[in-house]
Amino acid sequence: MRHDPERDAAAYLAGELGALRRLWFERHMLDCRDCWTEATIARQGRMLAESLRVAAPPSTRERIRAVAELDTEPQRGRWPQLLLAAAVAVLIAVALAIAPRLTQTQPAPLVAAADLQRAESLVVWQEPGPPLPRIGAYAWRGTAQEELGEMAATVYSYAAPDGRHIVVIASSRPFPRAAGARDVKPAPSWLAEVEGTSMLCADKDGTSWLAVAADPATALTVGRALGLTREGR
Amino acid sequence: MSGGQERFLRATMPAADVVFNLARRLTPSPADAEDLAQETYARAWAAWIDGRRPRKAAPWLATICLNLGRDRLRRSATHAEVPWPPGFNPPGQADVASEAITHCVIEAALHSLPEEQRIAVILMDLCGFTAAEVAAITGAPRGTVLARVHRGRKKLAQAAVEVKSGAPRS
Repeated sequence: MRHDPERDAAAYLAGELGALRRLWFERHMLDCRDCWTEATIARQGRMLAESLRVAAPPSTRERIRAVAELDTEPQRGRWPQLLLAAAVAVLIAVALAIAPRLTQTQPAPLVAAADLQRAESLVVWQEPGPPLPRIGAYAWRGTAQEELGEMAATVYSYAAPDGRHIVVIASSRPFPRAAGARDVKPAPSWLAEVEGTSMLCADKDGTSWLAVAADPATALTVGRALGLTREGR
Repeated sequence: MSGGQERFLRATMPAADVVFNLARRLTPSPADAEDLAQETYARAWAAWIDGRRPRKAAPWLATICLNLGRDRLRRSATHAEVPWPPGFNPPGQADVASEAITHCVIEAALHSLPEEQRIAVILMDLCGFTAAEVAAITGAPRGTVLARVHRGRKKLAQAAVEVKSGAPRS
């Protein structure tokens, strides 16, 4: 049986082999000097690396705790809290009266997607291989795996030379339709304003796509460039 | 402490050791590691306030820590060479050629690995992530992660043997 000692030993030590394959490999190692050597040396290396594990010092833990106690959600007295609650209630009442659109509750994944578009810096890593193609004036900056309201998604970050920023998000699960969305071609694609951003959502090849930009025209342009919609310039 | 702060700490504090181990290997000193760990949690807390709720805290924090650590290395004039761990003399110097494979020797061997192999070994063996998690954190395919960690482990073992036997390392 043809085999790759390095690949098989790596997968074996990582627990990546299925039960039958693991059984075969354990028996095979007894007769194969190359595989035995690969597994033995790598196991020694793993033990050496594991011996370097340390516990975070108490001072580090204290500093981490301090992070969450700083400058946000400050402790307030009872009266200020009541006054704040009253002020918020008044604001909500005003909003309900004069801005019905503000009452629209958008699905959590879309709110999270809007946050990503507005964020000045996205946690990204550069994918191996050449950069992804540009989308118009927007150059690819990096890719991140994100959880958007319980939806696992891949986020592609793009930026233009003038600082404008868009994100294109792909998920194997369909994105929920935004409140107030209008249909665009082809169905069931939609375009919506969500949390101060413009979103174009479309399904293609079993993947749900969400283009998030600062304005509807840009969202549609991105959608056209990606072949998600026929609308837009 | 508010409910939000408590929930954040309850979700993320179990990963403090993971973050510190990663930060320790991305920075030249324990003090810098502490700074990096704190900055990691500060970024995470800011994201948490904005509504981010990762399914697993440890890979999320590791991703932030790794990106911040790499940014620091890029900004640092010492990018090419993070100083050797305190108290360690690089391999080849006379006082390292003892029969004991010390903690510092292993540190140095880890330090000498190519970056991608070093990161893979750190994430899998020091932080305890699976190959799939390391693939998600680093953005590399799982097969690539396995190859990197395997070659890194072999070099670690080989370096330890060479130091133990007094042979010079290339």
